[in-house]
Amino acid sequence: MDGASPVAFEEWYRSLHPRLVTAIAAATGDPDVAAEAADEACSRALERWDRVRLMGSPEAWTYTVGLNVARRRFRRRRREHELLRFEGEPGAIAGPAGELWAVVAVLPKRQREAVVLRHVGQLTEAEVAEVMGVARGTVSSTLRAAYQALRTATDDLEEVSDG
Amino acid sequence: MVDLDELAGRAVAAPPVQPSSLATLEHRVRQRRRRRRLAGAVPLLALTAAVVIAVPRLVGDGDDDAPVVAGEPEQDPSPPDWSVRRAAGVSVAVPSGWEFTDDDLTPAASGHTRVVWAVGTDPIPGYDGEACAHQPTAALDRLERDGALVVLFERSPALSFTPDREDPLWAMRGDPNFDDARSCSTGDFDSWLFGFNDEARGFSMLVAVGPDAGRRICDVERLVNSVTVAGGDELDGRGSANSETSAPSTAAVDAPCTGPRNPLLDLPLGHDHLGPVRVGMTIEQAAEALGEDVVEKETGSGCALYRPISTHNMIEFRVDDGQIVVIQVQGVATEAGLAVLASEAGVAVGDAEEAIHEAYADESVVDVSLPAWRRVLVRPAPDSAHATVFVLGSGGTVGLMQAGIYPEVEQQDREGCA
Repeated sequence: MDGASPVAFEEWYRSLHPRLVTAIAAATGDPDVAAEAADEACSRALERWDRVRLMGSPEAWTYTVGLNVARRRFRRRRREHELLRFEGEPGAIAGPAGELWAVVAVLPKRQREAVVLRHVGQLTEAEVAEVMGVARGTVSSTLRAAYQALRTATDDLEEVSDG
Repeated sequence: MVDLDELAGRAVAAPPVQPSSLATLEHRVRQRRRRRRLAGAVPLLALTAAVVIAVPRLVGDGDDDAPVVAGEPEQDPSPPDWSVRRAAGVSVAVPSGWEFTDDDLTPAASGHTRVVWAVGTDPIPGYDGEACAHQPTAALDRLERDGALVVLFERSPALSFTPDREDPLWAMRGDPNFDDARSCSTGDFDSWLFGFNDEARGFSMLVAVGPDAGRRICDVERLVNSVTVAGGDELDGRGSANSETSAPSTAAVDAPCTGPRNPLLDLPLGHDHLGPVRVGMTIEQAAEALGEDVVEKETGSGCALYRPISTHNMIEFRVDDGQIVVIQVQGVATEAGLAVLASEAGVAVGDAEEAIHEAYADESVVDVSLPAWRRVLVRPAPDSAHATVFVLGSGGTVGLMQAGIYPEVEQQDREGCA
């Protein structure tokens, strides 16, 4: 992506957003949190665009921010609902994203994050490692464990090669 | 057969949410910048404990026998600008011209939560039948840009996870941006939500201020800290409203809005300590050393952040395995200028990079910049166990400082906690 103009950012943003919000929704199970986190991450990218656009992977940076924001929103929502004793439920994920959530929901959080970053975000293992703050080898082993867990849970999952 | 890539592809082709407009993102950027300015102003507006002590308890004062006139304040000869309002045994000093109500604004809050009262600069409508009936949404929608709204909820004290109230209420405020309120309302405001216990009763307080509230925040702070709780009725039903009024303590409402500088902001930062707080301490030891609560800011996998309750985000402790490993300090813009913390060598937030090299001329100074961040690492010696990282902003000046165990301190390079 070249240039720091609003047009250049917007083009990058609109190409990234579907993957970003779907990945966060599939990682968290909450479309409202995903929408909020995606907006917050992209607005931060916009604010820092002169630096973000020069990074090796602006997408990895944005996923990192988005997932961190989503985690904070979750904790804050639990606290807010406790304080006001409101027992609302998170909104359901509609459509194909909901089908994806139904598959990955069985995974532990870290495995689920690795899977959605790899398959929804289409990040390389190195980029996934950067987002999750772990070594690349850890990503590989986490993905293998996730595939095995999904296989056990569904009995008909076809492992996708890393290509 | 389930193909993850195929499933993901279909999900991305029909994402659960459409992208917001660029204007919406730009609005978020402006709000965030304003919150940074606002967050910096708040620490200097804290009332002193002496002011809180000076506020007389209003339980059992002479007005208990006065006729109860719901919603109408009595004439107060002194001071002319404030009056005390009360409902369900909880009183609050209210500036002249502000609205007061003990109506139920949140019909969908559970049966164990009730609105005690709401005070604000603008009319406070009740629930209007739209979404988010567990929030005072209609009132928040009506909030003017220079307006303020404070809503007090009562609930079972067993539900509170904050300590019983000892500090001024404003010092106990939660992080700004109470997201549920802002997601429910169309208004433009910053909001805090925090809980406290008092007189064996449990409360939550929502504070919302518009973007142009400015010095009105001082009135909000005085108001919040004037809250006085009597031992109350049970939470079965709402009980009767009881809006008695009386003259407020002049000490409470005449207190200067800008209190004395928080002494924590004068603690010098060393490679392994911030004043009396040393790397390696537990949070409990840090709280004892500082003389105030240290509360959790956020927790990520294997990483937890804590902060002294009075300094908002200006001081943070990163904790691993129960011990402080990194101390982070930063400065924020305030009405009075830039409130900063400084290192023991004299480098402060806002200083140019040259100041680092000059102050630490006898120590090892290394460029450890990342693609996103310009950073300088200072160690007393190349093999020292502790170091300080100075993170420079886009203007080439020190934005924040991180001191602690090496190499952990060099790994503080992410948004929040990875």
